[in-house]
Amino acid sequence: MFRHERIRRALAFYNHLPPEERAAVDAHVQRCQECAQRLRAYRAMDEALAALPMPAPSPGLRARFLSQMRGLEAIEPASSPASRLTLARGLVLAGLAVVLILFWGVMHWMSSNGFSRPGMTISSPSPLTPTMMGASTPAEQAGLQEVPFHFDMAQCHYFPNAWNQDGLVALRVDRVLLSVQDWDAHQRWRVEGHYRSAAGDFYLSIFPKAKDYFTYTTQGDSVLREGEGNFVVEGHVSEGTIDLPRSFDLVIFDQTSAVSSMGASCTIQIGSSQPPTPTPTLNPNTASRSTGWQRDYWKQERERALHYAPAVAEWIAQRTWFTLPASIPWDYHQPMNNAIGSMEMGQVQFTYLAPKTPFDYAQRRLSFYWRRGEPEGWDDTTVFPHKFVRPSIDYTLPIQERMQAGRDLPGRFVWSGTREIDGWTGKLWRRKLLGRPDEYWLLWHDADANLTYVMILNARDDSILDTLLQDFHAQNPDRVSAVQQAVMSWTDFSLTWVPPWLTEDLRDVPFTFDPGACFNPDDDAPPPLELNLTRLAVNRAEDGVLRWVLEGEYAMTADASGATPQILLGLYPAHDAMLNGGVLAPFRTSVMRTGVSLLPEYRRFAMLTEMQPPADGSLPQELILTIQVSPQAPGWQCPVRVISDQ
Amino acid sequence: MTESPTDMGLNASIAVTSPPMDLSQEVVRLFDAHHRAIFGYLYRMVGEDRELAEELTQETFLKAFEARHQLPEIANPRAWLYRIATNLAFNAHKRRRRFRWLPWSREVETHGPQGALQAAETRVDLERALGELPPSLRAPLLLSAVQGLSGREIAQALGISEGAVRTRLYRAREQLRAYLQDEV
Repeated sequence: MFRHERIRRALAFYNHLPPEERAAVDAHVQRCQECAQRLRAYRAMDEALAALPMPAPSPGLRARFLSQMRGLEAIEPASSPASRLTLARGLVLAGLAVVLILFWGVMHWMSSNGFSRPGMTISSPSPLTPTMMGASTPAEQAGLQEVPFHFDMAQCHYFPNAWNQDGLVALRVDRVLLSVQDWDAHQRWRVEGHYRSAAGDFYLSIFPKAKDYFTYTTQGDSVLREGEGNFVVEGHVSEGTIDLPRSFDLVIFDQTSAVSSMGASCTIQIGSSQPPTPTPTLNPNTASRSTGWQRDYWKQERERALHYAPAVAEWIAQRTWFTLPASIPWDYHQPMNNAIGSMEMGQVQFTYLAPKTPFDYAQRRLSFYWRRGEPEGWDDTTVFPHKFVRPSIDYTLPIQERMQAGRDLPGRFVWSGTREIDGWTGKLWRRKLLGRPDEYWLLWHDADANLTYVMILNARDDSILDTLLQDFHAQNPDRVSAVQQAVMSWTDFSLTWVPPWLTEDLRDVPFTFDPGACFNPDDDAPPPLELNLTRLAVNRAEDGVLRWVLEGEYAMTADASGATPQILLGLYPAHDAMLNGGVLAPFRTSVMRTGVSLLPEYRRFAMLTEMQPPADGSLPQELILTIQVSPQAPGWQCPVRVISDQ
Repeated sequence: MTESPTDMGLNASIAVTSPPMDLSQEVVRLFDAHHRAIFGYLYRMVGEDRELAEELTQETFLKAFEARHQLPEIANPRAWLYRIATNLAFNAHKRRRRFRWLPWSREVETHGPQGALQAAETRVDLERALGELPPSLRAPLLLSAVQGLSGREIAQALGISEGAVRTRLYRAREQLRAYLQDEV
């Protein structure tokens, strides 16, 4: 016989109960009005949850996934576990292929060295005329330039059993062209060549030989019809504005296989005849997945910051600016989603939230296009009609480093007073970004022209801001170097960095902290670290936000397996928490940012927490320090009591 | 949202090891069968951020693709996919935790048809309440009530015991109930 309390808990997972338990519960529910009511409430909850409107994924998701999947396939080593299974069989076929390839390679070498080619069956029409579907009329891009390359079909890697490799007997690359425009975040690559197919049709695509680059073909994969002809395949590569890929995979797909159709991958090496070298991985989604998330995270952030440091400095030096229509209501800090372009023309894309219902906000996008000196107009949809500017929806970096938009706090991001630049007086805004330098926005309005001007620059500290304001055109190499140094130093803030401008007028607050009072609703064990708080300080700046600085020392203890846990500290006001049946419910937080990752190799920490004060404006008398070991567990909550100095 | 009736068939077919399956093709089949449900789950898990949900959906299947050689040994690919998706959602949540922003205003406008407004309020309240649940509680509730996973599948998806699933479901429901009562 189950006790009432146990039955009451079992109602929460009624649908998952085995038949015998469910029968016992049913019997009890028939007698117990309270339980019957609760079961009805739970069922209504399930129905309501299941009935919540659910948007469908965008139709392009499948295509993007397949494209990325093919890209991964293209750069997978031949000795992957999957391919090992069929390697033996593939070797037999590969042996046959080598004979063909060597033969063709010799022919190609003779061709490229001026030898005559008696018996060669591949014609070489000139000028090159694309004949394939999809890429039959490639748009001429301004600035397309030929780049030196090396291609040898003997370097092709054949995927065992994936296709009939005897079908495509010859492939020749004649030209590799590249276009990089300063107004475009993408590189446009085009590969032209010639093929001969003895049996069946094939697809061609190009992929940069690294995961860091995101590529897509703009006009569909080129199709190599059975027979002989020319091919043109184009690809746009994003995240490549700093480095150019050093090699590409020209990937041959077998049309007869609908999905995993990887046939062969042939390397096109750009610039020299040396074997391609791997490009360092920067993508935080793909790098070092197997180690601790926090260490990886900061390591990758550092990598990223170092990687982008020269570009940031250059960006500042370029004085990125544009104009906006005067009608734009700049009442919110507008989170910029993406920006590409130069002073001459470009695009900036915002993600912002517009009221949809009294409770609900819809995420919308606003894209601005600009041309030097005049507003190009704006568009609040994701349609990008501008003929010079391409949408960057697939541009992965801003997606990875997205920010969340919060409710506007009047004055929160606006500096007091105004700043003057080039004779114009304007407001200065600051936008916080995760993992990237914050951005300063300088907005000023030209009443005569009825135009609002905006200038954006990246900055993390005041030295960069000063670089802008005092040396606007940033021609001074020393200043640019200082900016680079500053950028490189950003990555150390996980434990020690607190922005100086936030900590002015900090006032030390006496407090009490008892590690023994830490409470974990899921675990009776003490927190897996020794913790000593050494300083608690607070200020309230002109924006009304309370900023707490908490400093302390810690020693992390290993768990039973000898591993050191990853720990995240957070600080919340106790008045913000909801006590529910003795368990602290999630914070209905007024905290805007908090948290510090504790790394085993350090012993001290400093963290900054920003929060709204209580409704009466008083200083919170109790804070809750949270110790989170796993994102899947509630963690520990430790009271930190402020000793009132009233 | 529930899975299609073909799921069981998929599970069964995965367990067959002979003849050798085209694992890449199998991942694409899994994508076609589950990506909508996975997207819906992630959409709720990441706070109704559609773009992020799509990105994580894509990442879920790319991770599955990278680990496709494990597929023949995986008894329940659907739970496996949810486990990948859950981990990605938790990771996304961890990164977001560094920047916690103020909640939106809860001011209520009273105009409009009363019934529609109340329905909208209920829905929005529920969405908001769901968003208030920590991911560790939100995940099992969504997997149970919306995705229709069994207790065992939820346990597999979250990497916890079935007993822990029960505890979390109870806690999730109670917190959700308390929040909604409090809102009213």
